[in-house]
Amino acid sequence: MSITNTKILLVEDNPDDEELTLRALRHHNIANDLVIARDGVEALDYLFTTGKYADKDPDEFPQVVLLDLKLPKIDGLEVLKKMRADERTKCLPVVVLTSSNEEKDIVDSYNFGANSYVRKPVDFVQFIAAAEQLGMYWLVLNQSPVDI
Amino acid sequence: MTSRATDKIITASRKPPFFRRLYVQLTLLGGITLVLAIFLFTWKTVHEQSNFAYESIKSQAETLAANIASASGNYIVSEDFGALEQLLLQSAAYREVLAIKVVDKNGTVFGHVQRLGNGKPRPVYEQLTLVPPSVATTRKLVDKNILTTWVPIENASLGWMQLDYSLATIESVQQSIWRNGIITALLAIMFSLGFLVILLRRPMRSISRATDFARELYKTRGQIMAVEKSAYEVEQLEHALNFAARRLYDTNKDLNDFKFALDAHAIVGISDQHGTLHYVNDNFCEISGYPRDELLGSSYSKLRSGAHSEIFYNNLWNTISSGRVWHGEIQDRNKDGSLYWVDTTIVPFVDDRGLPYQYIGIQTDITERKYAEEVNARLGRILDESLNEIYVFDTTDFRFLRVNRGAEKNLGYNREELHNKTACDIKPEFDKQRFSEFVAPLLRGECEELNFESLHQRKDGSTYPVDIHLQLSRAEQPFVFVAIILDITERKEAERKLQEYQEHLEEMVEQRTHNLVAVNRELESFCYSVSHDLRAPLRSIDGFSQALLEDYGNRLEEDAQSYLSRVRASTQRMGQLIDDLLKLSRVVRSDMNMLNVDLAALARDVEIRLREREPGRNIEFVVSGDLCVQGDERLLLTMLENLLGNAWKFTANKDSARIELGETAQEDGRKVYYIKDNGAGFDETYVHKLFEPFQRLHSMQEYEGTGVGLATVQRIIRRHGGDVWAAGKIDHGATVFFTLGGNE
Repeated sequence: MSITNTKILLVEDNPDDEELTLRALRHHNIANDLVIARDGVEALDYLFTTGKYADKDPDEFPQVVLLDLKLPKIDGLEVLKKMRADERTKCLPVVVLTSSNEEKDIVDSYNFGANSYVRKPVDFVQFIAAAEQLGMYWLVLNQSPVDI
Repeated sequence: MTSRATDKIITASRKPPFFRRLYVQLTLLGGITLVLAIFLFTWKTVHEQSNFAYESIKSQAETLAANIASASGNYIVSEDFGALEQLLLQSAAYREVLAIKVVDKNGTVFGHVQRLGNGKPRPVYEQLTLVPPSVATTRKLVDKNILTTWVPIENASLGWMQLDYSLATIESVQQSIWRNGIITALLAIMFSLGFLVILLRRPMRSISRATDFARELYKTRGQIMAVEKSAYEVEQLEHALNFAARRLYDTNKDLNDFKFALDAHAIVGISDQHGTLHYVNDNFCEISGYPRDELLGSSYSKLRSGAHSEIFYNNLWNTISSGRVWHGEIQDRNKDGSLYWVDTTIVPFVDDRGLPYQYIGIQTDITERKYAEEVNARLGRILDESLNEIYVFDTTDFRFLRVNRGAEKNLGYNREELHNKTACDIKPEFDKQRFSEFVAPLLRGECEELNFESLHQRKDGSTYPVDIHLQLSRAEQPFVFVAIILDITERKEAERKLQEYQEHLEEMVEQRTHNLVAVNRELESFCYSVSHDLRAPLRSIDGFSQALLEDYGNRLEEDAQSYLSRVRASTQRMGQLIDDLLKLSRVVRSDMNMLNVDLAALARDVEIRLREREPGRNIEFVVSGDLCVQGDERLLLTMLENLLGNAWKFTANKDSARIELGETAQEDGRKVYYIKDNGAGFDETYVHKLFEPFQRLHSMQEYEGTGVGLATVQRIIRRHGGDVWAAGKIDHGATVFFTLGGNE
């Protein structure tokens, strides 16, 4: 994985949640670029350089994917499944965003290969904990990876 | 019965009066007769001998006197008185001669010789004048053993001679004769009696032996006595006794056999004319349940059961007391109160006047027969009243012999009409030929019973389905068919419906399962929606409120900030409510995974988490007892989280809080677990609301919470088959008790 690639892919259809997540990360000076996908199709287009993102560098992958489960068109679990099925994205860290502690979601997510989960609204503390769990401590250092 | 009379005879004969003994009487009679005979004979002989001696002595004296008188005549004429004296002296030489006097015609004595005592006779010379008899014949006088004889001399022409002759010799002769006679008589009597006694002894001994034998007859068992050679009559008597003994034994044996047979078969009691029992046999004691000594002396009325009227007993008594035999059936009651029936014959024994002096009661236990009769009668009634049709019909022409009311009612025929019908007449499916073939296996004994379904036709022509149980009854001669018939119209209908149901059952189950699955899916989907869709707007409200506070807080007045804080609190609370609600529904829906779970370990985990959450709290946490249970670990953990969380929460205001988890045994042996705290407690008035969802007994200001915790706890415990209840008091803590599983 390219050391210059410091993007975070946020897959979220609810604009309020998107706004709040962006705000939370911004407030804590997480400088990474955020790519927003508003549904499952968009997320997959971005990841696999298809459709709307056909022009994107095919080797460019986000550092981490924040994935909501309830999405229009293709839902979160489906996206996760497709990611894990593809060699390119098989090892990409995925943090699932859940709206509750509804354990079915959590269990399903882990079964499909999620690395961690964060309950919405994404608050900073939780996010850090999840990042730590993923061994991506550097992400939250408010440092551009380029600088590292 | 006769033993007392026998006793009397025996005791009477034991000590016979002396003179009444035959032996004594015979001896006495013989003795007296002998004595009398011998005495009379002796007396007569002695008397005659004595008289003969007397007469001979007297004639001897007279002869002597005549001789003296004739000899003295010559001397008187010659007046030779000296020779006369000589003559007189010689004559007086006989010892018996006491005196001889010779007088003249005038009575003047001129010759006198006298003997004094035992001396010799001496002449007496003394002037003496006697008075001679006036007639010249010999005269005799007896005076004081002296015979005085006057003899005339020469026709009294020369005078008289008087001779005094002593009779003393005669007396001694007579005495001697008497003495000899008596001695002889006594000897004769003694010998005779001796012989008599010896002669009588043997027959008397035989008689005595016979008597003893006769006396012992009642207890000898047909033995006979040895007959000895004895007097003919005695021998005959002994033979006769032996014969009688034999007959007596035979008769007695017959009687005993009869009695034995009677006792073996019957209940026998003998009472006197007043009805007082003086004999009861073993059967009597056995059936009445009373011991013999309780029955003897009492009467039959002791056994009265109360089943018969007073008139019944009066009639019985009148019959037997007038000397007639009574026969009938009586119900009696035995000592332990149970009833029994006896067939009874009472025979009065009448005396010479025709009055009964005792009654013999012969009874037979007929309880079972009576019971059987009663049962039969009852059974008959029950069968007749039965709603089932019951028919008894002939085995050859199938004509009905007996039908019950059920048959009349179901078919609409009356009994008369049915008696003219056959079993085929009411079965439209059968004719006689077919029916004969159908029942043939029963008649051949190939099967016990035929069970089949058929149709019966009512009088009005309509038919109905019936279930028929047909069997051949050998209880009657000739054999008969017995059919019990059940109207199965309703059953048939039910069977049809059941069949229908059965056909549709799988379909229905499938449908229901399908519906249920759909409902379940819907429910899950609903819950899922709730958790996501309800949460999204809440998140926005909370998130943007937070954003407002954080980003624009310095531009907002204090009130506005406070309001926003409240908005946040409310949204968070609503989020919590939704969470709890989902948890509650999860508790109900999730699968149970039953394992051995240690509540103590779970409680310690919960404690650690609670302490982490509020490290400043001073709480004593006690876990005691055996808390290993069977259950779903996840659910039990949730339960403990709620219960311990509550305890934790409600002891917040205590300086030294104490929470205790333990177990205690209930009276029925079930284990009861409890979680006890010394916190705020609750008002027992509202204890019933404690376990209802969203019910809270404290205000939000005091203690936060959604009111779902205890409801969740209750559902978890119910899913484990247990029970939960609480006790508490305001400011004195609360205790929640629970059991897990009915059989623990």
